[in-house]
This record gives sequence, C-alpha cells and structure tokens, in this order.
Amino acid sequence: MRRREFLKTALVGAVAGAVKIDGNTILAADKGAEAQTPNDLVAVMGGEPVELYRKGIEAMGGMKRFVKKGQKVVVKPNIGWDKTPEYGANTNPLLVGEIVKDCLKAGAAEVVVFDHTCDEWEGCYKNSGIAEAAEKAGAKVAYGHDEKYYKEVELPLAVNMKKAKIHEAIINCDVWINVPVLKNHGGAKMTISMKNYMGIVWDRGYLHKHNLQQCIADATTYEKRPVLNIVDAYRIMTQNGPKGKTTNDVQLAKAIFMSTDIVAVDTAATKFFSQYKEMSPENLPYLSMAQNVKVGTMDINSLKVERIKL
Amino acid sequence: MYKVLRWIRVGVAIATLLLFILAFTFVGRGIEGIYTITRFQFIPAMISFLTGGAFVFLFFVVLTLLFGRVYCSLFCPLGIMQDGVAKVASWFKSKKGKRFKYSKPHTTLRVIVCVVSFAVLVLFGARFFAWIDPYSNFGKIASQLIDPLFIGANNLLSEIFSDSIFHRSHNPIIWGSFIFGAAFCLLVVVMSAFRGRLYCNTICPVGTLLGYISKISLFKLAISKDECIKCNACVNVCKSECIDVKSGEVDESRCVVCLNCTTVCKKHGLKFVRRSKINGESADKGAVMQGRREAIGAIAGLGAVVVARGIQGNKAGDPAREITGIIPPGARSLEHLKANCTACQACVEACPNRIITPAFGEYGAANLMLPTIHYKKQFCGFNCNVCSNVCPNGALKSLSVEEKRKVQIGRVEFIEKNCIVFKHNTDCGACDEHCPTKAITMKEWEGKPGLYFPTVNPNMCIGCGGCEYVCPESPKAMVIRPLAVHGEAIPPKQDLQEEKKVDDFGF
Repeated sequence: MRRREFLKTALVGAVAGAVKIDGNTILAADKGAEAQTPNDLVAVMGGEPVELYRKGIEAMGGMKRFVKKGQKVVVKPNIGWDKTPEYGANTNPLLVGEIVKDCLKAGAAEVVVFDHTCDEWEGCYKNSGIAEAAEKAGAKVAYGHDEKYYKEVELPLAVNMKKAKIHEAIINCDVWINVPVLKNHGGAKMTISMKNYMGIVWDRGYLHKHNLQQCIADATTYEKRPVLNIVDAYRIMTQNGPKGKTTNDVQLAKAIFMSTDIVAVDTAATKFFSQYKEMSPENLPYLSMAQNVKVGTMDINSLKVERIKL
Repeated sequence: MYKVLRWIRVGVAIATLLLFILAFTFVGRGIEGIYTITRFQFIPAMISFLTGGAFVFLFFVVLTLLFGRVYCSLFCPLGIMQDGVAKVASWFKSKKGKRFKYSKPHTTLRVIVCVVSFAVLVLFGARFFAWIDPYSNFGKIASQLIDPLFIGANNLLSEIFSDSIFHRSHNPIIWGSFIFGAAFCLLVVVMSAFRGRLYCNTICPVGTLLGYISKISLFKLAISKDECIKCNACVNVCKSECIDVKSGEVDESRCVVCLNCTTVCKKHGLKFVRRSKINGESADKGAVMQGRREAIGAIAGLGAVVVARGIQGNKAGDPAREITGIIPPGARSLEHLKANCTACQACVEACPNRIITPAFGEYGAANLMLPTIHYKKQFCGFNCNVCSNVCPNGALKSLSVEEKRKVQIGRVEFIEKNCIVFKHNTDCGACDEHCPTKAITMKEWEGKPGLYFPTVNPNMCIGCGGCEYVCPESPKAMVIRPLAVHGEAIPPKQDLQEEKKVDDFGF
C-alpha cells in the first residue's frame, strides 16, 4: 500500500467511524476494480498460527466469502497420528480452533471436525489437541473410525477409483474447508491438501493398491470440492514423514497457504517446501493428474496471488 | 450389630462386582487405575508373590486366619456373582423351594481338585490353573459374555445418540474362549441357582484352601447351644449348606461368612466366638486336633507352592519355538507367560487398540486362552504401554512407554514379491508411513527414477505391526514374525537436521 493510498483509506475510515456508516463499502468502492476480483491464492509467512490465519483469510476476502449464513460446514484437518503438536504430524490445533470460530462468526449453522485417522483414533483426537481445540471453539467433533460413517459415492471423472466411500459429514455438509499440514511423505512423496482427501475416504488400501498417485487425483474429483484449502506450514515435517520419529524431523517454517484451487496451493506449498528439502511439483504426479481433469492448475502465475510477510 | 456387618458385606460385595464388570468390559476402559482391583485377588497375589503381590497375599492369609473365608464373600467376583444368581433364582422359587438344606461336604473331591490344581500350577505353570482360577474365569465370563452384550447395547444406542455415542467396531468374541467361558458360566450358574455356594465348596481350589485354613481361624461363627431352639431358620438361608443343627456345628471350611444366619436367628444364637473358647468346651478333642492338622497342612502346602515357584524362577525358554501369535510386550517369553498367566483377560480388555485376544492354537494346543496379538484390525500403539501395566500376575512385566519402545515382540519380514511397488511399479509406501521407528525406509529404485520401494532393518523393528496391518496387498508384503523370546530392538537412528531459516516463498 502506497503512502497516498494509505492516507486516503485512513481518512475515509476515520470519517466512516466518526459518522457510524459502513466503512467497508466505502473502502471497497474506493479500491475500485482491483478489489472486485478476489485473490485466488494467498501466502503468509513470519507469524504465529492464529496471526498467519487472520492475515491470510483477510487477504482471501474473509470467511464470509466461503461460508454463508446457516450453512453446515466441515473443517477437515489432518489428525492422522497419535502425536502431540510439536511433532508436526497433525494440523496445528490453534489453527483448527481459529478456523472453526471464524466459520461460526461468518454465520455457519454448525461446524463439524473429523478425520479418518491412521493411528488408533481416540489417541489421535486427544493427543493432537484438535478435538479439544475444535470443541472449545464450538465445533462438533465427529467419529470417523468405522465404516458405518462412510457412504458410497460415484466419481465419474476418476480414472482408477470410480467409486469411493466418503465420510457422511462431507456428504451432508454445504461447504467444507480442507486444512492439511505440510509434510514429506514416504509413499506419496508429499502430503498436503490433495493427500488430505485420504482422510475422508474409508478404504485407503484401495488407493494404495490401484496406483496411489492416480487415486489421490481421483479422490479430488469428487463433486463437492472444498471451498477453501488452508495449508498449515507453521511446523513442517521435512523428513521421515508423514508420521515422523522425533521433533528433529520438523522445521519451524511459520507460514500458511490458502487457495480455492487445490492443485495450485499444493504446487505453491511444494515450492516453499523445496527450500528446505529437495522436491519439485513436477515430481509429484498427482498434481498433473488432477490438472489434467481440470481440478486445478499448477500454473501459479495464471492466478491472482498475494504474498504477505509479517 | 450383625445386621450392620451383613449390610457392609453386601455393600462391599456389590462394589467389588461392579468394579470387576467395569474393568472387564469396555465401559471401564480409560478409568485411571481401575485394574488395581485385580491385584486384590488371591491367586494373582500368590503368583506375583515375589514381584509385588506378597503383601496382598499375606493380608488374605491373615484375614482368613482371623475370620475365616470372608475373602470369598467380599472380594471374589465369581463368588459374588454366584450369590447374585442364587438371589435371583430365589425369586422364582416357592417358599419351600427357597430353603437351603444342610449337606455333607464332598471332602475327597474338593481335596483332590485342590491338590491337583496347585500341583499343576507348580509343575506346569499358571496356564492350566487358568482353567480353574475363580478370578481369571470371572474375567473370561465378563470379557467373552458380558462385554459383547454391552457393546451390542452401546451400538444400538449409538444409532439413536449418534453425536455423542460412537459405534464400537470391535467384536471381542474368540470362539474357543467364548465356548469355555459360556460352559464354565453355565456350570456355575446352574450350581449356584440350585445349591448356593456348592461350586465354591466342591470345586474351587481357592475356596478349599481358604476353607481348610479357616479351621484354625481365631474367630468362627458358632451356634450357641443354650439359645438354639433348632428352628432351622439359619439353615434355610445358608447358601453354603454348612450349618448342621442336629450336631450344632457350623462347618467353617465351607462357611463364607455371609452372615445371613446371624441376622435371621431370632434368638441371636449365631455369633462370632473365639475358637479357643469353643475348643475348651468341645467334647471331641480328636476332631479339634484333626482340624488343626488339616489347617496346618493347608498352610504348609500353600507355603510350599509359593517357595517352589520362587525356586523355579524364570526360564528363558526356547527362542526357536515356532508360534503363530505375537506375545504381548512385557511377557518376555512364552515360557514366562506360560508360568505366570492365568488368562484373566485383563490385558485383552484393557488394550485400547483391541489387538490382544485369547489364544486359540497360536501357542500350541496346551496354551489356550493366553493373550496373543494379531494385526488384522489394528496395530500396537507406539505411545501405549497399557497391557503391561494391568497384569496382576506379573506375567506381563510393567513397562514404561520408553522401555516398551525398545522391546522387540516380533520381527518384520519383507516379502518383495507381494509388494505393490514391485508388482505394479506404482507408489505405495503405506508400510513406511506407519513405521514408528523407521525400521522401514523408502529407497529410490535404481533404474526407475521417482519410484520408491521399502527396505527393512529387522533389528530396528519392534514388531508393532503397523506395516503388516496397513499393507493393502493380500497376501501381505510385510509380515511380523512372532518371537517366542522377546528381543531388544536397536534404537531408531537420530536423523538430526540443521534448523533452517527461509525468507522467501519459493514461488
């Protein structure tokens, strides 16, 4: 923001505040054409989890852009492992809590949080800190450990996985927000937003068995796409992922990535990750596979991107 | 006063039974320290005499030497269950049918069963005693019969209250163990419905042993001959069938000190009396001496069992012994498990991942119902040490989480030809994903750039079964081979990395 612009905004804001009129509309109008096309992808770095999120969502146009009044919302973090937050194996609980609060503030009728965990689920829900954080923020924590909570859906755009059992919370919701954590992955190479879909599917073995890369891309073709993907890169696991052994596997990266485009946000996060550990989006086959069926784009430059350093 | 004492007896008994039902069903799982009650059991305390049970064991012996078989009424879950059955059965009986009658003791049978049981315990280990120990058999009944009922009820409720009650996927029934539990339960239920404590006074080796020790107890319940009008009221309520009004004797070897008789006697003719007083009045000196000899024989026998087990110590066992089930952490070896485990199912019920089941052939035909691990539905939690800490016998030695993480309960075997990466040339890595120690790591395939396949270091493997459980292929490419003697895994590599400062987004 240039100085003149700042002064102008500040003046308008002050006036608006003084006479108690809705400042937002004036400010938005003032910004003109630029404000009418919202950002497709926002990257923020250099802050604490809640701070990163607040800056990011503001730059994305606020939660009201994604969650409308009265909607049933699912926030889907990665709660795969029975590990405490400092191991970076699960999404940061502070971030999850803040997103839940923001959804409710935006008028959500209910917010549901769940994951199909890898380790024993009660341990994961508890030790990740996510169940507690989500409940405290006002979300309902749903069970995902039994097949009965999953319903079969068709995936007509898929190449290998034409059908999958998907968690009922996702099937029943109006909108869902995908909140993965950024980690390396021994099998899929990277686990970010797309790989996080494996936590909404019941039979993960099927994906592993029928070309993992293709099946991850297939999963993301499910018609109800997340309205927003928020990649937690506060702590990133750079080795021994996705479970990790010790906190040695974790780097404190203090970043967050958000996008409506799941392929783009994973591409961006992978590039960010590659500054810590060698990895290239080109070597992550599921990205191009998803791009081929138009789930998203790997061409970040074709999008409207905002980068924020705190 | 006896009324109050009787109500205390009933109260303690109900509390004991409820706690045991909690401990041996899913309902009590997660209650901190719930399994402490299993340590207040006679046989576990005896088996763990050298590993922490001595105090409880001696307490029970002294208690019996003071007041007779109060243990059987207050602390034995199987005995209390039978009292409950007898009570319920009485509701369906005619007024006359409700009455118990005096019966003669089956002395020969009970002594033979008792001596043989303890001899087997010394000679062949706890694994056969598992078939007859009252505590352990109550555990089997609760785990195999009551828990499935509770799970069924829970799952019905979970349909109604789907937000707050979750569906329990686990089916605890293992048919071999279920049939044993059901048959044993039926035997005990039928016997107690018709004849009160007949099982305890005829078959139960603990009942017999404590009964004989009771023959020199400091106090005993006795009929005051001056007061007794031979109305039979006491006999009618004596579920041990041990009051003989004709001779005016109460058979203390069968009396479980339930105190029912003391409260029905209108003349207050049944009281605790110092034995020395009765003996002083008794005409039959021969019988007094006989009782004394029998009691001393019982105590000596019990002492001999404890000493003999102590001398035996722990055998290492044969590492080459082929078994098909994994021995739970803390058991050290099949030999140790066989010597100390009475298959009470505490570890089976306590396991949060529900991977421990009663063995049915995994350790051979002679070692049925001992705990064994399979990785069909889950695997062993890296942060979990629950099973090793609930064993009252010391068959599973208590391990800290840190200690458990080093114990090798099995070793991974990688069967390359079954592996998806080799079969289809596609990514998988599910095994690597789940491996907590990174005994499995992914290596890039030479000549196939970008494709990674698993490599294993079995010496680093702790046998948790994450890889075997999750391997999507059938037959599995990762299999944990059980170890008849547990090993120690080499510690995981410390992959230190420099803290890196990044100032750019990278795109």
